[in-house]
Amino acid sequence: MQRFKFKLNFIPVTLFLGIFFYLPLLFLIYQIIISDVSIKLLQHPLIVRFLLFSFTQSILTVILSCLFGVPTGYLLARSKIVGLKFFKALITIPFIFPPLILLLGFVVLFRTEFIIMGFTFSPFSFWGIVIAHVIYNISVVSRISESSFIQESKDYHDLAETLGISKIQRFTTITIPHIKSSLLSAMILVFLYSFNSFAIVLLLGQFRYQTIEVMIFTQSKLQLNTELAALLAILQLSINFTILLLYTKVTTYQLFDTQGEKFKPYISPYKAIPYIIFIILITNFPMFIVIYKALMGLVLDPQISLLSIFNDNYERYLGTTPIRVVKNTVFFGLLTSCIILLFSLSLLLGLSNLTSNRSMKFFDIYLLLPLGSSSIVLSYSYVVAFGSYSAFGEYIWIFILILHVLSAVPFTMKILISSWKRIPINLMIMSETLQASQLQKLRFIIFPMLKSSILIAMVFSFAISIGEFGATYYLVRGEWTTLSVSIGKFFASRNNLLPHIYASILSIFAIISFILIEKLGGMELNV
Amino acid sequence: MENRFLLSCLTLMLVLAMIPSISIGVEGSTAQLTIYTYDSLLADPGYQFDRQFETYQGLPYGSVEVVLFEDAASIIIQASAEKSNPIADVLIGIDNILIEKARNQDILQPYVSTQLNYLEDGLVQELASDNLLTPYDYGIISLWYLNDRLPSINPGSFVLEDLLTEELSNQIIIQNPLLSSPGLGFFLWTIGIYGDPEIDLDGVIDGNWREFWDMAAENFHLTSSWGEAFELLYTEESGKSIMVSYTTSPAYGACLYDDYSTSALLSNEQGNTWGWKQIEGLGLVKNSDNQDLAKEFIDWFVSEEVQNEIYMNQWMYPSRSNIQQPSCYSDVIQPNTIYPLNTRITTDILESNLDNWLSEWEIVWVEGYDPAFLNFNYLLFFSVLLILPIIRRNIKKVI
Amino acid sequence: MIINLREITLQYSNHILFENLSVEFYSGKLNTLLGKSGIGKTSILKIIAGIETNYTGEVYFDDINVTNLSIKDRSVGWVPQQQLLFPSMNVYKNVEYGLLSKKLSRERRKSMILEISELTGINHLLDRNIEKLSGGEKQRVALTRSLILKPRVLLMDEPFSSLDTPERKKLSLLLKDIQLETGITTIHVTHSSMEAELISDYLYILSDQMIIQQGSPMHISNRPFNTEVARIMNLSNVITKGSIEGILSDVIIPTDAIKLSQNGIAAKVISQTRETIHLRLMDGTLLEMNNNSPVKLGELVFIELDPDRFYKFR
Repeated sequence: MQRFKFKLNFIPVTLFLGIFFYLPLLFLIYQIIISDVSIKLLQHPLIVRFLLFSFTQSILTVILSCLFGVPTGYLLARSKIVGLKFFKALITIPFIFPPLILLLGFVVLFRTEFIIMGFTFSPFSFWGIVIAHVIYNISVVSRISESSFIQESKDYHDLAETLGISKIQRFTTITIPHIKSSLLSAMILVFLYSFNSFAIVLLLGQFRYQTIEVMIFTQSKLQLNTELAALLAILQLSINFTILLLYTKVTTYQLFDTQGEKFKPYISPYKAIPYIIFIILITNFPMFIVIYKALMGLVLDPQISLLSIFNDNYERYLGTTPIRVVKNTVFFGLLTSCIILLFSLSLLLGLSNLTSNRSMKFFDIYLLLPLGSSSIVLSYSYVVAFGSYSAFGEYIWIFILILHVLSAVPFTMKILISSWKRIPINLMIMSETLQASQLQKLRFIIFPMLKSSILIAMVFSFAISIGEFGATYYLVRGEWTTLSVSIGKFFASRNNLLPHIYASILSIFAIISFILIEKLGGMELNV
Repeated sequence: MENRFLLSCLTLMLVLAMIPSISIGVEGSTAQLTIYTYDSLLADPGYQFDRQFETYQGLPYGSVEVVLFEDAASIIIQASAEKSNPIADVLIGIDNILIEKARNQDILQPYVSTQLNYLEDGLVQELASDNLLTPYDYGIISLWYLNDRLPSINPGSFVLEDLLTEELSNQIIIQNPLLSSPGLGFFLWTIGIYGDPEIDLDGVIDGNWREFWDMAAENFHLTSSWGEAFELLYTEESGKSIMVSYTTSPAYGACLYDDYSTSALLSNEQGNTWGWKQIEGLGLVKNSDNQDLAKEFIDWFVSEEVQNEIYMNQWMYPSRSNIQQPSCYSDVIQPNTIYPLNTRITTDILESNLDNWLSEWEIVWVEGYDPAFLNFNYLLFFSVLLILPIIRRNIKKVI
Repeated sequence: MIINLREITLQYSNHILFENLSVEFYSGKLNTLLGKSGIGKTSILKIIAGIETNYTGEVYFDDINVTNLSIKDRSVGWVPQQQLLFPSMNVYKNVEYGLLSKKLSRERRKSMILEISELTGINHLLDRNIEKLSGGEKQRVALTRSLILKPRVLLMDEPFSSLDTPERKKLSLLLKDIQLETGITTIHVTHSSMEAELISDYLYILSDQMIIQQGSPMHISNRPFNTEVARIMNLSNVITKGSIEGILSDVIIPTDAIKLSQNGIAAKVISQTRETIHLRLMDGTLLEMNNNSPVKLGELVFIELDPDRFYKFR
């Protein structure tokens, strides 16, 4: 009876993920099975080479992000800076930023300014890809390591000092083991991000460099090689899931006692600020330059730039009017938020019945796996599963919307589950002894405590949706084009105003979302 | 209290979302005729063939729905995904190479247009002797460059080999033959000139296309579409001045802006001018719902009414033979002075070799380029060495 | 080594922990600092160890001013409340940790570890993992680790507070034994008077920002300075004036000064052990008397008190 009830509560969430996540993937696997594809397809020299590339660039990204990010996190945690919140915000912003803005700014920066300075660095190269990934991921590593450094117990250091242990030895024996597990999870996140990178590699790689995502895209969408695409999708999924399972294992053991006294900030701001500003410059420059370009356009020729957004000349290129593109983006963003709200509530309904950790474990995995799916794999599996129905083409926006929701789901779940875990379990057990129903529990205990988390999840989903590129780019045609996809289409044109205006609009949306999230209590990047 | 908060939140969001959705109009279509084509068809400065056909047929506004794709290949992909339940009635923009894919996917149905007699000699044969497609325009793939940036070029004596010189090789933008039809045309051009000894295909001169591309991979800039290449060409900072396009491309500036600053470039090996001829056609979708209207559309599309618009909106040669060429086309290389390489690489050769050629091209392209990451594989090696102890230690805990 | 704190003032933002606190701890003895939780007992230890530096005043070790000496030059052994063992190392490595800073051969280190773990009785645990240890075992390991460098003073911060009573007693006695064996000056902080009485040579009662009484445990329990000390020492029958009719000052009523009688003060028997009877008076005051006459639980009895035997606070 107990088990039955437990399942009932999870039905909404299970159903949603089942239909829109697991089912299409099963279709994909089914297609592989019936089509009798040989695994030998994967032995193609280019695929081997692209895989090697994917691993190399991901590992380099991880190393470089840590090299820059860990000291940043250390300084953020330990230095006495006035206005630390502001610096933290600036370092976090790139994480919430649409990758297309980063990409556009990155290319603009290295195309113009650097050639003038006598530098010949091409963003369309291996190092271009790695650096773009690093810029995006420094914020992740900094924030995760920062919170780990903040949690580090000072008592261990005091104890070691009474034993005469030197500073370096204390670092290797206390600090490193302490940050190891969260740093490892940050590394895995960064690895997953760059290994699954789509937009950056597609647009900077010139097809010379391809991740599995890009390969799936080119094989399925451009070369009609559906069998190879399906095979690659399965490969991608299995690699991701393996890494994710590793991730859950790594994050479950907490080594050090984090009770007791913490370090008070002691590093002088004069030492810390130059480095932090350097990092902020690196990570925020793409955004600054995009906004600067749009503003320059506005100043130099206000009429043209304002009109360009209402100018129908772009219609053929975009597939729809420029203003509609903005509307589409907002439409998807807001609807994604709404669905995420419903999703959050049904997730909490499910969670409200969980009081034991054992049953949680299964759902941790069931709910976490969507994090391991990439937008391209999912889009492709949608085409495989639903593509033959006429409604798929006619109501493509619904599917794009669902993919936006799915790409926001893992973050939503991380945000919600982590604050759900903070609800004292005794409170739930006590309410059970008072014979509260599931809904009452949800309403009087869980919901009030998680209200701000739900709002954060909604705002964050909005930010994810407006920045989403892969799935939209894969599925969209004409009328449903979004800002990100348009920027992608205009990517080669660096003297054009519209992409910069689009990017600025996106930036404004992202910044507003970010401020909202901070106002609602902020978000931990690692959960 | 919480419920009210929740409800108001949800309603607010829904209302906000409705605002764009009302102005967007989220309803299904009521079209009588659905056409799939690529986004640049008759687009510049623009001839609205969908509205014109409605007027011609006396149909209400919106009866013809055009769905635009980024390129012709996507049209075929979409149509074959819907094969069992077709949405489109007509596909426009499939060329003499892509037709093989369409044929393999079995998405088209032969239709003998009533206008065939008025089309240029041989075009129908060259495109589809089985009438799977009806040709509506054709063009010659060429290089296209900005005169002021390359004053030293002599179009009369230019050969493909010149592209590999230090002066030119950094200036060239090509399109990915896997993704773009002009890109594919250029690729076949190089095969036609250099030949392929591996299948005993003689080129115009002795050689091997692989050797050309091996050198080209170092310096050519690759884009995925014509539009992207075009934007790059006109971005001064990029330092590029030649791209793959059509012989008719200079006419665009000449006709619209009286601008003669660009020229087309074909190669002149062994005293002849060579080029790849691309023929584009439109066809009837198999088992579509509106066959009759679709057939009338095809006939109309190769009628004088539409064909007259090809020169000035599509910037290609119309397939109908009696169309008057505009005077601003006078500087354009005339198609009858060109030896089309299509006669050397016949449909049969294409059919049996294209897939291999393309996948070999991809390898040459990727491997011909000095890959930075391979130089850093020792880094990979060391990083694995670094991580290995950590992995080994943790694996115990994990398992 | 005599440890002397002079005129220590410690203040956190606007909350004063001590003002001009001076105290001297005896050399070679087990000194216990007894007081309620949260009044800064740990801070005193941290000042001695050199961890806490935000105070005014001076610290002397045997007449040498060590106020500005760094933590590692003070040679103190530190046993924190939460043990702070390294979960990634086994017991042996944890004990060895203090030797990392010394240049010693592996054999030398090993013999030192074996010697010291013999003393604390953990030599059978050396290759265990930390997670597998019981609370008492963990505490022994922490103690061993702090002793390995033969510190001049051993600072124990509520070492046994997380243990159950039998284990706590056992470990307290172990600590006393080690202290006797090595003669190390020990400062032990606790809030448990039982533990303090059991092992301390000297007791320091800390309350209200100062040491209100110090002396041997026997002396303090026999002659508590005021009711506060008596309560901290957990003495029975501490009666404030006026709470029982006829008692006009704060007193302690010895358990044998209460006798049953035919009439007198009415009380209800609420608990009975082999040695004592607990009574509740009508106004709620609890009293404890020797169990020397038969009573029934819940029975209403009358008692009379012998005022001559009352202990009166000065």
